[in-house]
Amino acid sequence: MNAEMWGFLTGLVVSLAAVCTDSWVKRRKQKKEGVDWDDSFDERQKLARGKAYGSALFTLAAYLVINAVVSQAAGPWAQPGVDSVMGIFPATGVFAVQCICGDAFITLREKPRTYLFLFGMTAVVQILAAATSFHEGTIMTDGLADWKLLSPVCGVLFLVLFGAMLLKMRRDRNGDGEEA
Amino acid sequence: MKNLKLKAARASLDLSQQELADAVHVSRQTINAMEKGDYNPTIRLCLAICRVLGKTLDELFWEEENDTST
Repeated sequence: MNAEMWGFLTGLVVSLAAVCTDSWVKRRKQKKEGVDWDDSFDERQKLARGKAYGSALFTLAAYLVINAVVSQAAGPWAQPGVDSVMGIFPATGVFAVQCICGDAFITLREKPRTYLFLFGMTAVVQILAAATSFHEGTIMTDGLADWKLLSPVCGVLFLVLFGAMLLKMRRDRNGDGEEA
Repeated sequence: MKNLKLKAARASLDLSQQELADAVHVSRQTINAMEKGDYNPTIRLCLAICRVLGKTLDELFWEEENDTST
């Protein structure tokens, strides 16, 4: 395994560890406060998230079929694995945008501003990483898209999520049908 | 179909959508969607709202055939 793959693997492990730690801390806090874990989303939100999961699954399936057809017809366009992993981004985007628009992305206790910051930061970091890769010319290897293509795609995804969250917050601030 | 009975009952207690939402542990948008008729709540949520507003299920959620509150 080369140094680049070790870098990817380290990033993956660190990210998973961060998510697990965050989840564990939240769960512990909720237990301490006597709040049921299932109370995180209300019933309408759970329904909306279920529909969003369905849309995301359909998007992923559609992407995989289109990718298979294109790869068969025109030959491979990316290194093995890259094209498949790329399907995660449109599926995640569809799920998240649908949840954000349906007021089902964040739990009752969370603040949208936290996610806005997180989305913005992730987009900036990924776009900067992509800019470095473009500058070094490592996005393509032997005419095929490399793993480093995931950075700009991820950056675009988080930019879209940032925009969706910003629009949602603005809509909420302007009333959104609140009638006393 | 808009639920004007729910909205009227809430307003009569001088509760905002957010205050009612907090009392029954749902989001404000869920209360808003119920009042606009965009979401049909479960019986569990209906009962919780009835308890907070001091009304019966019939008073808040029963729809008469000639109910024209659209």
